[in-house]
Amino acid sequence: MNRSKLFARQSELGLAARLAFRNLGRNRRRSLITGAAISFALFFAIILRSLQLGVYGHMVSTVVGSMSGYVQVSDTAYWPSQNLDYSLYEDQQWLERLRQDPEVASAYPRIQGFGLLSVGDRSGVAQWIGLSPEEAQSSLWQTRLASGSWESGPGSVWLGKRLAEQLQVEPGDSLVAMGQGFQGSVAGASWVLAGTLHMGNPELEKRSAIIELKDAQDFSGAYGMWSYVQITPQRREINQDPSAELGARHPLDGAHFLSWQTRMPELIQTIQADTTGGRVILFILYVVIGFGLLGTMIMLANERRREFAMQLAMGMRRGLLAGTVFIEILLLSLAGAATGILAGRIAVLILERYPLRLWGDVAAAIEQQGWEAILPPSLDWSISFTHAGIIVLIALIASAWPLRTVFKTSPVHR
Amino acid sequence: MTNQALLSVQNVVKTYESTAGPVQAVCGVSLELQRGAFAALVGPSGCGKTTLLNAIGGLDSVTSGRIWIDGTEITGLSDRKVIEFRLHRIGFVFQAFNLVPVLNAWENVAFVMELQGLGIKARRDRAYELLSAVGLSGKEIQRPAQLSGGQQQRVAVARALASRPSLVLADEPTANLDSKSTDKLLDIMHELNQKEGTTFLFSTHDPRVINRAEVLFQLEDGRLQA
Ligand SMILES: Nc1ncnc2c1ncn2[C@@H]1O[C@H](COP(=O)(O)OP(=O)(O)OP(=O)(O)O)[C@@H](O)[C@H]1O
Ligand SMILES: [Mg+2]
Repeated sequence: MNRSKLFARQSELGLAARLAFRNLGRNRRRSLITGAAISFALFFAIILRSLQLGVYGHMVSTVVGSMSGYVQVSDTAYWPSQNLDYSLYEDQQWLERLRQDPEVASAYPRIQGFGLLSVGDRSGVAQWIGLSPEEAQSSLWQTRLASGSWESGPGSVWLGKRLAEQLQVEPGDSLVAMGQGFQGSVAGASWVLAGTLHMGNPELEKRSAIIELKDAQDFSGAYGMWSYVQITPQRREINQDPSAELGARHPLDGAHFLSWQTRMPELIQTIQADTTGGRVILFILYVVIGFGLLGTMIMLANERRREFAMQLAMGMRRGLLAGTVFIEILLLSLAGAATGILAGRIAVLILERYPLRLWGDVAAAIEQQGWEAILPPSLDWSISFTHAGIIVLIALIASAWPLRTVFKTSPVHR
Repeated sequence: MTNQALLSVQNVVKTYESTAGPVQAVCGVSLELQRGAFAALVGPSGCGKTTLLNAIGGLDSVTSGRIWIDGTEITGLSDRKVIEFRLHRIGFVFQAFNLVPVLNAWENVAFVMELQGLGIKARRDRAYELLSAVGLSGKEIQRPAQLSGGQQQRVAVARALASRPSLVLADEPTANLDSKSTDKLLDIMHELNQKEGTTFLFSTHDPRVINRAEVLFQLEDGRLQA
């Protein structure tokens, strides 16, 4: 290509961009409506997906993340009976190595079992969990405190808020704990209530009794033992499972690494069923928007047919004319997508600050299943960008119509 | 072909395929046009004027026959080359819908020059010069929608001449104009024909326009009359 031709190409591109830009302002109302349709669809998709994925994340993090763990290292016989007799022997060196792994955000050993708590003539079944001091100091547990404090001496217990209400105890009150200990022994102790906890899940709030790991080992007679080590990996997305990888890097005799997905297949099934429903709704939305855009594009193509013919007759190359139309539609869909992302983001941030709370029967049913009846959104940017990509792609596919018109229009004037 | 002729049409036939069978729109037309001519193609509606002009301008293919413009046989060029040839060598004025609605008057005049890759200064100077020549000084930055039909046609004439083409083809350029605007447009076309030496071939069935032509080609039922 010689210089003057190269110069012509540059000049052509400038012309195409200018025409595209001005064409956007030509039928301002149509451009606005089209852009708004794209924005709105994207806005809706972002909110829907953010809430959906947010709820799953919330479910997983409350039920799995803080409790049994995204990944759990336990004796190969521990799961699913969760019997104290299948405990692990403490191995601090191994634990240290595990904590050094870049994929591991945190790793905490625990020992836990079931027992009966009583105060006077009131009693309740509790799942007691012995937390290591490191875990108790983690921000997650610190922020859960509803009353009392984390400052404590030996024999302190923190109860789920609802359990404390049921037993009618306040910080400072004593409780008697009984239960089955290690290898058939009987466990018994007297604990002092140090505080009450929000557990993020009503079911957990009704049954959790938190004590220090050392106290738990003394109580159960499982000296120097852990029920399991609870690992929070860096990658916590629902579709991520680093357990096999971690297990291969940090083997422990007689133990295995189980992901929450393996331990709780019903949770994954619930999520998958639900996410399919969401995808169907979005698919329908996109089909509707897609046909809407196609209609607009057909209108646009028909309106410009004569103009296309004239420009071709003048000696404008078809490719350049097509480029002009493409740039116009690209600009329009990008502007719509940008607005949609912005509006969606703002809405998601507002929903994060003031999460939707379900009410009535739905809320009751959800709480009965053990979930807190709120809809916290996911803040994952990839949701916005994925759906922006989808809708821009739909717009560009719809642009195939006017592009086809450009390539089919004859320069002959009629 | 004669060497001096700018345009030479030899035995051109154009047959349209329609649902009612083939239609012979142009049946073996031959003509020659000298450089600098101011010529009209006349005849009743449906006699094949548009068809012939489209063939000469390379907008439409011919069924048979050959067309030379300035020594190039355009009936033998590839699609790409025809577009390139049109861009550099032929100016068009149509009956209507001549202008790009989103470009203002001078940008419309400069449209072809811009496709050719001319710099903005050269384009603007030439466009302003031509707009002044067609009597539209002061209207340079108006959009087509803000111009009258006659003014729009004058912009189209200015554009057709912008890149100094060998030949300007105009298919019924005055069909939508009143008699005053028609006279004005023809004055301008004739003046540019004289001043720039551009060859004009326009079609019409308006007797007033026919009178202004220096060369006449009479078409009837797709055949040239002597
Ligand atoms: N695309 C086409 N398909 C079939 N027949 C056509 C087509 N275009 C033109 N014709 C026919 O060819 C003949 C010549 O048409 P053309 O448009 O060239 O006439 P014209 O002289 O320009 O008429 P007018 O003065 O009305 O513009 C007419 O009979 C017309 O019906
Ligand atoms: Mg005609």
